Amino acid sequence: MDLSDAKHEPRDLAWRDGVAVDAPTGDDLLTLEGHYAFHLREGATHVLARDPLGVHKRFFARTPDGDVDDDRLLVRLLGRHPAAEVYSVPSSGVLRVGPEGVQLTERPPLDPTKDGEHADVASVRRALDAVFDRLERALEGREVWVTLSGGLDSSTIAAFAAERFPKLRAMTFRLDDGPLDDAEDLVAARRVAAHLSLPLHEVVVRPDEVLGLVDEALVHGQDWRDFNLHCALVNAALARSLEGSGVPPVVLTGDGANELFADYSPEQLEGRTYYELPRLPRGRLRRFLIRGLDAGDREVGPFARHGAEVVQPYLLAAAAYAALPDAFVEDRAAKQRLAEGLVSDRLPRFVLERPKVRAQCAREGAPGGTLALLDGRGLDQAWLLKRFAELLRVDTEWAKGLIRAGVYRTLRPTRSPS
Amino acid sequence: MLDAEQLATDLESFIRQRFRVRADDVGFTRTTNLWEEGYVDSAGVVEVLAFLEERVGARLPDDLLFEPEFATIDGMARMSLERTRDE
Repeated sequence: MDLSDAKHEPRDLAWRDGVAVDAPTGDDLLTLEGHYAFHLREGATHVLARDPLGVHKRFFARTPDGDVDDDRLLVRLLGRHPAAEVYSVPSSGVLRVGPEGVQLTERPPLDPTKDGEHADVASVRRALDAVFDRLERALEGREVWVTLSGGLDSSTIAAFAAERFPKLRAMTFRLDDGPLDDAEDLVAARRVAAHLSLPLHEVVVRPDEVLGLVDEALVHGQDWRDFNLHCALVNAALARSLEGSGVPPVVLTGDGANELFADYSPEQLEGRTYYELPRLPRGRLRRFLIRGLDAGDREVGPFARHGAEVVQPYLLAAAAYAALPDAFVEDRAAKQRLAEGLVSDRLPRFVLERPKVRAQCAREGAPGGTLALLDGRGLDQAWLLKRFAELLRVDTEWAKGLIRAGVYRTLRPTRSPS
Repeated sequence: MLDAEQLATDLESFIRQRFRVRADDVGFTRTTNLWEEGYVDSAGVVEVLAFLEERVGARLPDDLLFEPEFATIDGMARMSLERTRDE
C-alpha cells in the first residue's frame, strides 16, 4: 500500500436535533452535530464545513480557474497543489469560497459559560445516553469494537457501549518491551474486559514494528507534534490488527475526554519533560484544548488507513461536558466524581481510583510505551517535524506553520457573512 | 477604550514575565517575530492567545494565527483589536 493510500474513507455521521442527516444543505451545516466533513455547491460557490470539533479533517485548495479541490488527506492534496495554496477547512464555521470571495459564517463556539445553565452528572448522563441511542441506530448491523486501555475514559465508553452492542469486542495495545508488570494498561484492560464480559483482542507489538509505523502515523495522523504522533502510533498498530475484516468495522474510543476535562499532565522521562501544557487554569485551558481538536488526526486517520471507522462518543456529547462549571473542572478529581455518578455501578472500583495513564505511556509511574520508545531512539520533536515535512514534500517552515495553537492553517475571509 | 498601543504594552509585559525574557535582550522588541525567534513555544502560543482574548473580551478568529503580521507584539495588538471590532 502506498503511504498516501487509505483502505476506507470515513463515513459522515451527522444529526440535527437527534435525527440523522445524509444530504445536508448549506444552511444545515451551521447546526449539524456529529463527525463529518462536507463539500457542497451553491451555484458557483463552494460550501465547506467540518463538524464543530473538527474530528473529521478536510483540506482544500483553490485552482487557478476558480474551482476548489479538497481532500481528507493533506498528503494527497499537496500532491496536486502547491503548499502555499493549501488550507484546512476551519471547524469554527461554514466556509463559502466563490466568485465573490471567501466568507466564513462562524458557529457559536463550544465555550462553557460561567453564568449560563450548567451541566451536572444527570445532564451528562442524559447526553451520553442520547449519543448512544443515535449510535445504536446508526451502527445497526455493523461490527463494533471499543478501544480499552483500562483507564477511566475508555472504560466508561466500554461500559455504555456494552449495553447497546451485544457483540461488542474490545481491543487493547501493548508494546512488547519487556516482561508484563501489574502497572501496565494491559493488566487493567483485562480486568475491565472481564468485568464487562467483553472479548479482548490484545495487540502486542514489538518495538521494531512500531517504529515501522512512524511514517504512516505521521502522514495519516496529519500531525508532527509528538504527543499526537505517539498516540497515532498506538492507533496505527491497533488499526493494522483489524485489517481484512471486510465491511469496515467501527471503533468507539475514549478520545476527547482529556480535552473536555483539561486533565492532561506533562510526562517526565529521563530528566526531560514531554507534553508541556499551556499554563492556564483548567477551566480556561479546556476551552483551548477543545479548540485544539481542530488539528491532528491521531485516531480517524490511522484507522481509515487500515479500513476502519472511528467514533468518539465523548466528543459527540461535548456540549454537555463543556457546560460543566469551571469550578467543577478545577477539581483534579472532577472526572472521578463524574464517573461515580455515571458508571460506578457498571465498572470495577479500581478503574475509578486508577491514576491516569496516557496511551502513549502505557503504565503508571515511569512512562513507557511509544513515548519511551521514540525517546530512546532519538526520534524527538525536531526529528518528527523534519520527517513529516519530507513525507509531505514541503519545507520544514511550512510544516511548522501548518499548526498553531492547535488549529490547522486556514484562509482569511475576504467578506463578512450576509 | 483599549487601544493598540496599550494592548501592545500589556502584551510585552506579559511575554517578558511569562517567558522570562531578559531585560538586556536586545533581540526582543515589539517587532520581533516571536515564533521564529523562539521567544514563545507551542504551548506559549496558547497562553498569548488566552491573554489577548481576555484583554479584548472576545475570541480571536482562527485565521488570525496564520497572518504573517500576527507574529510580533505590535502586529498582535493591532490585529486583535481590528479583527474583533470588525466581527
